[in-house]
Amino acid sequence: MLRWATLLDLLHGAGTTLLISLLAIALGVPLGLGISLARARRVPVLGTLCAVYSSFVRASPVVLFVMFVFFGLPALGLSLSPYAAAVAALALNTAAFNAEIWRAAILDVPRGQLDAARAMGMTGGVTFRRIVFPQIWRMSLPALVSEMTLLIKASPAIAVIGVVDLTRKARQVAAVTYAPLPPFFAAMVLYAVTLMLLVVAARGLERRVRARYAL
Amino acid sequence: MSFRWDVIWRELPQFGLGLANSAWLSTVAMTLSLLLGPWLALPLVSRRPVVRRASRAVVDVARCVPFLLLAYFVYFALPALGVRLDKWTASLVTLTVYNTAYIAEIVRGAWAQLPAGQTEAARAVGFTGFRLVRRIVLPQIALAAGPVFGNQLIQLIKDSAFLSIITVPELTYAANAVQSFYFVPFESFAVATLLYWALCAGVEQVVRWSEGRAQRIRYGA
Amino acid sequence: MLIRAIAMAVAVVVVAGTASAGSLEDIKKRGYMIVATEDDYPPFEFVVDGKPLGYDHALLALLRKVASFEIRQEILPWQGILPGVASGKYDVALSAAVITDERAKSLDFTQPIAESTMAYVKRKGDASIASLKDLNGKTLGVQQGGASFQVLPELEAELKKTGGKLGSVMQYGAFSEAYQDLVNRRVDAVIHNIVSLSTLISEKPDVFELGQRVGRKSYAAWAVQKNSPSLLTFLNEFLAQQRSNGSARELQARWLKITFDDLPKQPMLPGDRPMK
Repeated sequence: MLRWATLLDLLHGAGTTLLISLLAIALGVPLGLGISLARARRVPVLGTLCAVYSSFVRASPVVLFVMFVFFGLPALGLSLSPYAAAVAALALNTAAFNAEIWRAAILDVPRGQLDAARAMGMTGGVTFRRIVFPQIWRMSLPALVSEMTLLIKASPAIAVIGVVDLTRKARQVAAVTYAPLPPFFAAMVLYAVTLMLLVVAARGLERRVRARYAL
Repeated sequence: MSFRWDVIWRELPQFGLGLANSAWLSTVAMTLSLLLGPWLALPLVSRRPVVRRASRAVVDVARCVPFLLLAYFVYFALPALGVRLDKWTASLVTLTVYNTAYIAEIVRGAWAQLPAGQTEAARAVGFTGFRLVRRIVLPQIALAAGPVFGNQLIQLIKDSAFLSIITVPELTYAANAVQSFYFVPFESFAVATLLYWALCAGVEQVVRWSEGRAQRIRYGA
Repeated sequence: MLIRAIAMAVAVVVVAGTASAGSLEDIKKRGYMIVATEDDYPPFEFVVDGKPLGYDHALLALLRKVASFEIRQEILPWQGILPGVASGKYDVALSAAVITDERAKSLDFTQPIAESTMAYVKRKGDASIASLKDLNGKTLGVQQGGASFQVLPELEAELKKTGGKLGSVMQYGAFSEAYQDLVNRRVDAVIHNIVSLSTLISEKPDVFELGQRVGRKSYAAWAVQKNSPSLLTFLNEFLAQQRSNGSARELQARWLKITFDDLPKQPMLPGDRPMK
């Protein structure tokens, strides 16, 4: 049904999907933290901008956002290659959702702890590094991993700006062979298997975090 | 850096039609999957471990299929198996099949939150299967899980944007058609983003309103 | 401190190629030119196993030999190419873009590289479409943002003459999907330029059949941003040279399977009208 060469071709596309997704995650998680901090600390202009940005991005379809970043931003002078735009768009998108996850965790840190830290003379930075962050990253981990799964699930959007990911590879195979069933089915299986592994890992993580830190 | 908003203004009907199509496709699919989802939730809470585990696997895998791939599969690959759907039917089928797994999971999750005693009592009195779901479980979780269903609808609206690739004239398709004809990518996609945001804000507003009603029904305020 | 870290992260993401097109001098100063090609436009440009091939790509290889600067190639879907050139993101659309009145408003074109009159393709053996007038009421497939879409008003006018009207139109992102839907009977005919359709039919003669010409005679050329005279001259000189030394003819024979020996020396609007 599917030649080995084609399967390898699809796997090549899967590699691109994973690479771009990982880069986007690596950028999006800390960016989300930054956005949530800007809002939590009530930084004057930046905080409101972040809130507005977050609201718009979370209501945007990923495919539209990807097209906006790639096709639309050059009008503002910001021109990216398809691959750079894919990473940027996915990162910016996931950052908005991650910001909400971080925000929930930040709000869960007992106020008393922050007051005590200040009373002991710790600066904001030290308080964050030694008191707040160790707690919030553990609290956020399951939700962040869940969001990573959603990012990979939404990553086919990058195929529409020409990135040769798994989806575009499947399309190319179908276009050449006029037999769309094998490549699309194989691609579906590859995505599903990858995501299932992530979901299982996320569930395992959640159990362990709960058990160890009694959250 | 001059923007051509006049073009957008001229093509506003196309955007409006796209928005309407996005809205009705998502709503109809949501309604259909709300009818089908609870049926799928039943095996998820079955007392027989085999049924429970098998259905768990099905729902988990179903939630791991990217929407665009499913749309491609339904629209381009199924004809090879003799199932040739027009783009509207294919869209509704894809959206509904995709969403039903999520609804089943939401129903199961909300059901698990209900006091276990209720389900046991209902079963003891003779409610089983779908009657149990319809008369006992659904009325309660419908009130409680409003926001969760609302979020799912927003997610569905966003996923429906992928349908533009199978030439369904919804909002993203309209934005792409306008931008590639007039060379106005920034203006076109910015307006589409705004319209999606408005649509989602509308859904959130409806959820908030229904939550208010749910409170009044529950506590008779 | 965190804000600074975020600012740096954003800057890193932003750094890739904030180019704005300009004249030849800008390109020479910059050291590189950015050209955009499509990934699904046989026989002009297409990708096989990751390698770009086709008539335009072969010309690009020759262009690289005479250019004193680097030429970077971006391969992307059609809907991004012309808007990208119009906004200055790319210097040249090194793609066989059909010259149309609408496009001439926002872009300048080189001399034609091929004739690209529009035609339609139908399923082989589809007797319901024997000639152009039989397209009356039929479902048509075109490309979103393509010249195939822009030729529709002419088709409509043509159909009106025989008492017919335009059927429903499906706009596809790429032609490969349009062809698949033609096979699946979701569309009755797909409109594209005659060279690309001939290539399709030569690959699948038992599936597709060429129909008649649609609209006026039109030409394909490379596109640049408006008001880039030095860049245009550079490209035109290159193309004229390929014509005079026979390379153009040889490449046409190899890739397009048809040679155009009498192309105009200036870009022309459909119907052999000079540019305004």
